[in-house]
This record gives sequence, structure tokens and C-alpha cells, in this order.
Amino acid sequence: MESRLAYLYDGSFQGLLTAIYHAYYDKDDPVAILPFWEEGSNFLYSYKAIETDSEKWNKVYNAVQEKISQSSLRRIYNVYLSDMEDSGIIILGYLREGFRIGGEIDDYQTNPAVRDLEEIYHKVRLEVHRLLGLVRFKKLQNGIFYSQVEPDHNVVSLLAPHFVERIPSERWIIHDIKRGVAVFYDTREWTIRNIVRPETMVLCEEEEGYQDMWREYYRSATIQSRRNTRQQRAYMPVRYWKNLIEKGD
Amino acid sequence: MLDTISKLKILSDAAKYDVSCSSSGSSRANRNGGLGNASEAGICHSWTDDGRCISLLKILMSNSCIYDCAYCVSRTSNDLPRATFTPDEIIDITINFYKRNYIEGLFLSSAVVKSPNHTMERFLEIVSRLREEENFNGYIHLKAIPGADREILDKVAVHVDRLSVNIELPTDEGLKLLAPQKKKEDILLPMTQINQGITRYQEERKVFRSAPRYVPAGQTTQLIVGATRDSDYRILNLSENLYQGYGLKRVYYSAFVPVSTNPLLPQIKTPPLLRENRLYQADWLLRFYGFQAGELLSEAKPNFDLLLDPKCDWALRNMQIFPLEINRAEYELLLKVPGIGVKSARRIISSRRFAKIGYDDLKKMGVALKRAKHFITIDGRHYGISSMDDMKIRSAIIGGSSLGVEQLSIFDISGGADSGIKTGISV
Repeated sequence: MESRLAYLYDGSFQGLLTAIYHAYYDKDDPVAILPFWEEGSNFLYSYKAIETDSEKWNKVYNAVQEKISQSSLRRIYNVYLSDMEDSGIIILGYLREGFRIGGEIDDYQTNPAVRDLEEIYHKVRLEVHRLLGLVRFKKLQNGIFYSQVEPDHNVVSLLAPHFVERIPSERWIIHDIKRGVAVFYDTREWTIRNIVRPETMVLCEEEEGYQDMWREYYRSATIQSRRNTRQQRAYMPVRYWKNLIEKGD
Repeated sequence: MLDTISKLKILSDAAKYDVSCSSSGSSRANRNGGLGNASEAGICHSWTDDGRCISLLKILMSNSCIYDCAYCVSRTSNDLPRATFTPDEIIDITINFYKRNYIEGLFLSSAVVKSPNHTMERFLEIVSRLREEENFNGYIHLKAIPGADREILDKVAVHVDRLSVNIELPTDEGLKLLAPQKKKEDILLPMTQINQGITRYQEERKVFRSAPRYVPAGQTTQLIVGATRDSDYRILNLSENLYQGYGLKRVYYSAFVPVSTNPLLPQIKTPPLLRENRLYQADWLLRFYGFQAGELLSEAKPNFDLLLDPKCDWALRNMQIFPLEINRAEYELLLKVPGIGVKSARRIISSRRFAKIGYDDLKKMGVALKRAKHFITIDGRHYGISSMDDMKIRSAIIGGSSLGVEQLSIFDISGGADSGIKTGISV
């Protein structure tokens, strides 16, 4: 049996778009498009490394905007951030259909390529929406509001604009400790950087007091005769609890 | 003198029976680098062990009440600890909770302290200081106290996103029995005034873009279910009138939680949650599915079937319009099919323009085929039981499921900041 072709890219969105470019122009038919650290993960694959090239990815980027739509571009970017293994190949399948059909592509709900993309897109947006509520900031002694999260998908950059709008005059950090990336906001602009966990974090003096009040509020807001933890878990999956002040330790 | 955390315990405990936690319907941009904004869709920040979402800091300003309503936990005659927040305390907790992303904003209610006017004046101080001194642009939902002067109501209204007046007891008889100090007219008057204020504001906005906002997220109310003998039909009729006559955004239903042993109240062990859920489902049918209260219930059939959701119940009494062909039926009719929601109906309409829809497509669009299959044909083919007899279909749908569990999840898709208790269905 012939081994199946998998593309490897550098992990960036630009790298992924470059890989898409090659899938088109090299007339390859890859079965997977993976970030380079996945190399060797499947015994049956033969790997081909794709080098990120700004001319090539720009071409794809512009073509998506012009020939399909702005919203399709947004969708594939979100799906790229899903960090899911098959996201690369699903984006390729979706774009193939998109270039064939055009701007109305997302109305083709019965098209499998559209549905596959939609499914992951929905997961990413759901997590973004959940985290807009579940992010918890702690005020540090130096005045910075610090939050740590462990999301399924690589979403901190998608959370940032919301909090810039909301808390524009404080400095804050949203730290994805699973991936070692964080969004930093300094009251003027936000940046995303790789960081390791800071060794000591000293909380500001009044922080504990507000956390206690929040826990107290959380407890007393429950109506015991209506207990329904099944519903609670459906809306707020247990995997998020450890970073919640009212649920964690 | 109580410390703030003890007050918070007392005054949030007393506020929790108000079921609304919605933070939706208002989009307020952040101004001048102030704190916060309001998100149109609403955001939930946590869920308590009863499965309800926390979106707003829901507290009473005070639980020292001059009234003695039998159904209410804060009634004068109830022996419990009393507390009153100062405006400074409420403002400080709101701002600090908000900055830590615990909440979307404040939902402030209160027992009637001294007089309705006195209570509303304290409210005015709190909300105007939050908006003007603290530059707070988060969501504020305030309870309007019946019996206060219109002048104060109008002043409060320009600062808040939502106002609500709780009707609580859906009939005159109920009110006389359980809350004899309150009069129907007193409750309805502020609702009329708020509605007039909103209408006036909408007119002014057409002329001046900068006209001061007036309760941009609209007004709501709450009805208690199961504290009196009132039927579902009377409750639903009242809701319909409130939506049509008073322009209400939402009516919330609260299953009566026994908070007292008053002999006038029914002796129940658990709140009638399933009945409450049926009312929410029916309420949804009024607002988004083009149903009328009179179609769903009547004097002859005044209560919902607890085993079936209201739409299924209705469909089985109107079998003459079924089965509908999924590839042809109009949107309005698709909405009447049990198992098809607003979202899936829209998906059906948009995707059948391009290709015929098959059984598997419907499943993937989120149609609950377990119910829907009995009422539709898919490209000419019927997948339900081989009979259009309503009794047979009824038993096929109910099947072996015992009362409750499964049925409860029907509308329970996406709860959330606009969900009150358990309503779901995102629209």
C-alpha cells in the first residue's frame, strides 16, 4: 500500500495558508495538514514539509476574501485556532468547496465539507462564549489583573478584544497555562506572547476579601429545593472548575 | 453593625427567588475609558448547584419590609435577620466584582423600606452614582417599587438597562388572599408608566439621536406558579396581554418555593418545576412561534399536559394539518411541527434552496426527529408510525418515558444569560 501524504507547516496561520496554496498548485492530494510537531504521529503517513512564504499565503488570504467572503476567512481562522488534529484538512476541504461555490457557501448546510467546518467552528465559538463569562481576574499587588485559563482550543487571542472594550483602563493578563501563551494589555494595546508561569504572584491586600464575598454570594444564590447539578454541569463543564474562584480550591 | 459579607449573605439569600438573571437586550458601549459595557446577547458568569446561571449580582438593598405578603420570605412577620446595604457598599461590591469578571452588572431589588418613595430615592442615588461618578457602563436591572412617584421612576429609568415590576400573583383573588396590602392598580400603574416612557423615548430617538436612553432593554415581570389555584390558561392569558398591552420583553415564571407555613399557602414538598417548565415552553411559543394562548389552552382544557410539551400537545389536537412536506412547507408552518425549532426551521428554508433535504440532513440540522417524524414527510416519505391517529402517535412519543426527566430537556438547549431558570432555545 502506498503511504499517504501529510503536509507539515510551521504551526502559524500563515503557514497553514501556504500549505493550502501548495495543495492547489502542486496538484497534491494530502490527507492531513499538520503542524510540524505532529510529525511521526501516524505510521502510514509520508510527510512533506511546507515552508511558509508570504507571497503564497497572501495569495490564498486575498482569494478567500475576494472569491468567498470575509466571514469565511473569519471561520477558517477560528477553526485553525481549534488546535484539533483534523482542522487543517477540514479547512482545505471547505476552501475547495468555497472556491467552487463562492460567497454563498455557508448556506450549503447539507454539504459535508461545510458541515465539518461548521462543527469545529461552533466548538471554538462556544468555548469563547463560555470563557467570556468564566475568566476570573485576581488583582495583584502591582495593580495588574491576572487570570489563568486552560481552554480546549487556542482562544486567548479571541477573548482579548472583549476585555479591551470592557476594562480599558486597567492592566490585565489572560494566561493560557496549558499552551504557555498569554494576552497582555497595558491600557493602550494588547499583545500576545509566550510566557512561562511567573514564580510568585503577590495578591493585592483587598483581593482575598472580594474572593470571600464572591464565594459567599455564589453559595447563597443557590435554591436548595431546586438542586440540579446535571444542568449545572451541562452549562459549565467540570473541566473549567479548577480555575474558578467559586469552584476551585 | 453587620459587616459587608454578612449583609451580602442575608441580602443575596433573600433576592434569589427572583428568577430573572438576564443581562441581554442592551448594547451599551464603553464611554470615555470608563468601566464596562453591555453585551447584546448577555453573558453567564457561573452556574449554581441548582443549574441556574449567575449573570448579575442579584441582591436586595434591604430586607426590612413594611409589607407582610404571605408568599414572601422578607415579610414583616417572618422572624429572620434583617440587613440594609449602604449605597457605598453596593457600589464597591459591584465595581470590584465587575473588574474581576464575576458579573455582567447589578440586579438591585429591595424590600419596601419606610415608603415606596424612600426606597426608590435610595435606588436613584445608587444608580446615578454608579453611572456618573464611577463611569460604570455595565448592565443594571432595577426593580421598580409600586407606589412611588412617577418623577423618581423617570429619573431612575435613564440610568438603567432594564426595569421590572413583579406581579407575582396572577389574579385578583390571589392578591387579596396572600398580599392584602397590595392592589392590582398599584402594580400595573408603574408598568404603564414604564411602557409610556419607552414609547416616548423611541419616538424621540427618531428625531434626536442623542435623546436620553430610557430602559433600553425593556421591562419584565415575574409570576409565581403554584402559590394559588390559578390555571395555566389564566397565567398564559395574562402573559399574552402583558406582551401585547404593555410591551413587556419577558415574563418570568417562578415555581413556588415554600418559604413559610402560612395556612393560606399550599402545602407542597417540592416546587412545581415541571409545570413551570411547561409555562416557559408555552411562553416561547407565544413569542417566537406565532401561537396564541387561546390555541394552546382553553376553559375546557385549562392546564398543560405534563407528559407532553405544549407544542406536541397542540399538534396532536390539530392532526388535520399534518403531515407537512419538509421540502415545501412554509416557514410559519414548519415552526408548528413538534421537534422543529426556530433555528432548524431557518436552516431548512435556507438549505432547501440548493438541494433537496433528506432524513440525515434533518438530523444534522438539529431537528428532534423522534417527535418530528410523525408530523412530516421527507421528499414524500413518512418515517413515523404507520398511522395519523393522534392517540397512537401520542403513546409512540411518550413511549416508556416516565414523567419528567426526558421531557424536561426539550427546550433546555442553551440556557444562558437570557434564560431565567430553564428556558433555553437560543433565538
